[in-house]
Amino acid sequence: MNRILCVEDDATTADYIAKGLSEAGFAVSIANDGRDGLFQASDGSYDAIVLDRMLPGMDGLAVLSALRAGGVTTPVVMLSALASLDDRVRGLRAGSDDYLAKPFAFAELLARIEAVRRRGAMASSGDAPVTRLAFDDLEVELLARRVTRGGRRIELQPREFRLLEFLLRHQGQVVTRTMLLEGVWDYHFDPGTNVIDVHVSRLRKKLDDGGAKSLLHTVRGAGYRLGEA
Amino acid sequence: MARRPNGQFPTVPAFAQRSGAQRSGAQRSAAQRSAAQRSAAPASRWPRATTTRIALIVFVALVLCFAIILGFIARVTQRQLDADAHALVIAERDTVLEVFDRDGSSGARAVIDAELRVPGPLAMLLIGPANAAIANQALAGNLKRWPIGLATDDRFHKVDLTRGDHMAAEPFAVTGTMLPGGYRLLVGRSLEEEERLTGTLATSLIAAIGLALVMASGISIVLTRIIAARVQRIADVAAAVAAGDLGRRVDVPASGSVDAFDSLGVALNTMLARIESLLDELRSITDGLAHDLRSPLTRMKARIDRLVRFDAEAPDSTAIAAIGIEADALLAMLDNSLEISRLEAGIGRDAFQQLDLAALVNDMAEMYEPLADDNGVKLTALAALPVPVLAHRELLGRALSNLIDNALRYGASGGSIELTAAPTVVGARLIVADSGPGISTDSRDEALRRFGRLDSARSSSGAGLGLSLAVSIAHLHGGTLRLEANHPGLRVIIDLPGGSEKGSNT
Repeated sequence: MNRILCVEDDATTADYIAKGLSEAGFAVSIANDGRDGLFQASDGSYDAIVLDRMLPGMDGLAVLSALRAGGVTTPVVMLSALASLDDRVRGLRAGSDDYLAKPFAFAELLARIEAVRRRGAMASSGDAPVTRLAFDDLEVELLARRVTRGGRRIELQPREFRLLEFLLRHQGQVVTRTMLLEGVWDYHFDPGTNVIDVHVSRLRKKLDDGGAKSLLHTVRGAGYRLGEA
Repeated sequence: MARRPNGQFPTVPAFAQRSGAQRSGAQRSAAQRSAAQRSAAPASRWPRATTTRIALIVFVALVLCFAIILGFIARVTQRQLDADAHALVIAERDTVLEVFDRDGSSGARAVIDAELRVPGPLAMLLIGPANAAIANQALAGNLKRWPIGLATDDRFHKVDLTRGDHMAAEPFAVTGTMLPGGYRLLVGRSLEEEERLTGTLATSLIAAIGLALVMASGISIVLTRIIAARVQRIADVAAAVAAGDLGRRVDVPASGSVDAFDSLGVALNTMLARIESLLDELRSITDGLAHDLRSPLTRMKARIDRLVRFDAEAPDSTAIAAIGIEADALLAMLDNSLEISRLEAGIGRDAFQQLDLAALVNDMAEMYEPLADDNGVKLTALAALPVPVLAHRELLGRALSNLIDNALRYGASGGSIELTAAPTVVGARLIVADSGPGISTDSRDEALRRFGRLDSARSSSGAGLGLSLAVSIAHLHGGTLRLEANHPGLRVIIDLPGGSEKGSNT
């Protein structure tokens, strides 16, 4: 069972997050203020922490700094009503693994929690750098930048290659449009239009060319997932 | 779409307050009236204080002036009178001396008696030698005895003497002379005239002080009237503006104004114009925001009503998703509005970094190319050479993204969009040019205003803030954004200052 700590002072939001995460199969604990959150998080037993930025008693950034200073490496997704880019940079600099502006779509939060959780697990297992990614009959040689599907060579543009790499690294997970924009293009604003969708559908067309079964799925209201249907 | 049920975005309470303030219009106008009264009270108090102050200053100045003039006259006249008196005394003494030398004491006595026969201002006395029978006796003259302490040093002394034929003592300028044989001669002239003159001058001075008082009050009243009238005109304008008449301005001469009141008026007018334009802008933002918020909110409410009324048992998930999409649009609008406010406040400059504008443009072209292609638009980037600038990568990216988005949205499909990054003499230039219908010259200012979505664009979706956000981002970088015709289409030009010389060595 995966355990998530949600540090959020607003009862409605906390309840909303807890309910959603429970439905997604997580065991959720709620802390109502910064001190309680820090106390609960300090043993490092959680798989991930959802941390509100503005909390009574102790500011979210202070909680985060205290945790990191205490050697707790639990992945943290920060929530904040401070949506501007600079606030985001400050949050990430303080040691959070991801930063989400309020109000947020729950699917976005869930996708990001999954992502930081896996990243945390991967980092702790201490794998050697990956040079080859594969899913089903799709194979990607990262160094040679070679993509094959069922032995058939697929030619990709550099950006399409990075998009595929990102999706493969998050295989089985839902990745949202903003996660793709951040991970592949390194921009953090919401382009609003379906810019990303077009890129994904192009990539999908190239991958599925030749009538193979589709690997890249659209998750309604959330984003995309590379994996089993 | 799952959205947080009671989001806490700061704009909403601010809006509630604002509309609340408008609702209590009666209260507000009352507050304005009392504010106007408060500002009027000191305005009417200070001229009175100033009247007294000016009166005092003028009075002191006038009295000083009169005193100096009268003092000068007194001094000059006195000197002249003294000189005359001394000349007379010396002439008399020399006559007596001459006669004494020639005819001895008896001659001198005769001369003295002759001089004193006619009543005049003279005092004379001849005293015999100390060792003779006539020792220290008055031989001739109109004085009884030699004044105590008067030396025979041929100098002039001021002494009070009582002449034989007078009752009272009078001031005299006298000189004592030692004659051969031990005789002593005193010759003096009355200074009564001088005393009288001094008295006259003193009286004049008192009169002058009275006159100064009258003149000072008169001048100060006139001056204060002039000043108060001019100040009052400015105060009236300020009060009128405070009472709500924002268009009121102080009358100032059209050209070549030099006086302090005119420059005060000009400064006030400039301030009022600025306030008015800020208020206009604020009003148009508020109106625009309210207007643009109303339609999605109305649609949202209609959808919710329909759900509640008809589909309460089994809600249609697409209907709920549609509500979510409307909510997203609203949130995006509010976010953009907040972001613009932050940018206009200059927040974000500390995140500036050296970057290549050409790379940014190529990035964006690459990002939007598939979307443009799907819309049948040819998107090309003209940025072959590096253009180093010191800028905020995210924000510039966002500005470009908004402009490309606009070009795709409003530029006609089937056309083309060109992105250009190029160095200029003073910095760098970004151009987003499309081949759509463009914006007519007189609508361009309107298009650049916040929420200034052109009516032609209002029907389609979009926050109407994309261009304003780009303008704010340009401003944050100390740059400008302007719209030009592209023949056909629209050309958005962002000029960024500096950076090229800074970046040339990196």
